[in-house]
Amino acid sequence: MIPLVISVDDDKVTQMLNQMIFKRSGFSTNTITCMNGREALQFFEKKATEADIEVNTPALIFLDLNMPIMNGWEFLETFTQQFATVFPSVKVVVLSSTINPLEKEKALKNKHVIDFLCKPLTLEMVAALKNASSINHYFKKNN
Amino acid sequence: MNVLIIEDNEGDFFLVHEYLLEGIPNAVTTHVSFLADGLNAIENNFFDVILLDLSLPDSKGDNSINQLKLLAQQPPIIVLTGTSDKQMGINSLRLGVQDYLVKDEINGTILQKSIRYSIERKNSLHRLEQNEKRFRALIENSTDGLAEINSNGVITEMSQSALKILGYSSKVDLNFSTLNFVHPDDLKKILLLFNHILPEHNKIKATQFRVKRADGNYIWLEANFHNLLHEPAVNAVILNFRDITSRIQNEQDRKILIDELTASNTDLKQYTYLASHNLRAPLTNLISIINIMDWDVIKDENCLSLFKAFKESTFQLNDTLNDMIEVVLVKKMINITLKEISFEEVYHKSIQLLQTQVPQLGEILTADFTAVPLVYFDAVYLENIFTNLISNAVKYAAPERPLQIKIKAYFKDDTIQLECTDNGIGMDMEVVKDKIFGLYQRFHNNEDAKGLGLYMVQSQLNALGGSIGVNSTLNKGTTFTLTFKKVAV
Repeated sequence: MIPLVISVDDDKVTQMLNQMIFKRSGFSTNTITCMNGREALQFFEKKATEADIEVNTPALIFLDLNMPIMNGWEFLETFTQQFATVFPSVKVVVLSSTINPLEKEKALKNKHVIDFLCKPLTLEMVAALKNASSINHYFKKNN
Repeated sequence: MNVLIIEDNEGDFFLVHEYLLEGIPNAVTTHVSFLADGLNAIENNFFDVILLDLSLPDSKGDNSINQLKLLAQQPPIIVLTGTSDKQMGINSLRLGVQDYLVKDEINGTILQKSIRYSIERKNSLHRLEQNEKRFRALIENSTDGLAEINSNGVITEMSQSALKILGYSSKVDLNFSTLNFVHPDDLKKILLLFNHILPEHNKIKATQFRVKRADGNYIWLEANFHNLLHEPAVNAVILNFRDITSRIQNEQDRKILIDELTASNTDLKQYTYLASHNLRAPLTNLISIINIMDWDVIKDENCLSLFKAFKESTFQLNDTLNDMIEVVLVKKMINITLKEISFEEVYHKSIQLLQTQVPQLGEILTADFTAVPLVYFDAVYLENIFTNLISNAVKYAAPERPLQIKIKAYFKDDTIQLECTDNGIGMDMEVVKDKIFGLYQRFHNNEDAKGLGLYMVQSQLNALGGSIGVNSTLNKGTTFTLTFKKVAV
């Protein structure tokens, strides 16, 4: 299991359902929720000032694209610029209801993005995600 | 040749007559001694030339000429004078006679030559006058206004139609400076244009500008400025113009309408996007709830039925929304790859998919792309079009006869036609003709039908410059004819 993930989505019901799925599929122990990109960015800004930045740093960001205040794209761009070297192990999974394939292509060009999932998130999708090479080490011990 | 000699001196007449017959042997002479008799003779006969003595008993000099000029028939006039009143002869030329001869200097050759020249000169003059009249009539009756402007920008001449366009009844009303009636906002443009054409001979410039009419209202003119200052006969910039106020008004109205339409269309697109996105977010949540819900724990039958109905409605809503999003995508031409593609290849790809649902498809389907193997189109769209047409034909097969579907491509005029014919149940064209390619139009109580297939086919064709038509007979079958552009765009 991944000890901590951060879920960035402006829809509270989606947040609740995602957490339920993470828990039920044994994907992650704890989930931090942010309502938009700005909140998520503020979390990492604060984290970066802490003494031991490896402690309690989420390994994975679930990122919605369409959000108010700061959308997923803006977050992705700023995060890559400011924190890529600070948090090299943090990966991103885009979770969006977009139907435009170009967006998927665009998102996957970012080297932090390990997957692009279309909503709704399902138990099957999460199960498949466990096999992703950059995070599968979290699950080997348990299996 | 008919010659009228008006001469009261018998001796002079005798001499002139002698010389006349010497120079022009076939001349037929009429002789009168009084101007009144001469006028009378001209009224009743045709004369090629008049030889006129200037001192007659009933008329002298200029008066005789003026009297003759009043007649409808105007033969050329040669004035005969004595040596003493030679100056009178010279003066008479100014009154429009063709020549003058001093009686003492006449001989056969001189008289003959003078007569021939006079007739010829008169004819030329007549032709010139006719031409002048014709051109004047053309200009005056033209709806285009015509004006002459000198190099200082002052209007020196205006045609009747020009005055009419500008609302003036006569030239008297006019202050002839260009600057006075061009709209202040257009003045700079006109001055620039004028300065631009002035140095260059024969330069023509067209423009549109506003001028003030006699009533003070401004109208729009479309005008050509033609520099003919170097032409000695013209020595002006010729301005021809027409009133295009109503046309400009129409254009402005149309522009406003287009702006409004563009704005509302942008709003609509934005609305569609928001609607689909904002509907989609809660809808995915509903689907997610259905997915994670533990159905086994629901024991109550009623409750279970309700949840099942909830599930069914949710998926139905999801399908509809997906369809609508696809429609929007086609309209916005997202993800289009235009290139030369093979009908055969795309056709095979689509029947491979269909064959999983209709295994006997190979037996009922024939396709011939030999005439036109390639088309410039999007492969995904074309595959979707084949799938829609074939599955429609299968869906509406007539139960009493084995289904046959024939597809062929051919050139027609400048287009590629793709024809898909079946022998299915057909449609009543009267009923379907206006609606068949509409969104969510259904004509049969078929549960699978959503009324989207043909709409998508048409949208995809239209988006890429093609079109679709249909012909059908009830209980006979249906033919869809698709038109593609022949050349790469």
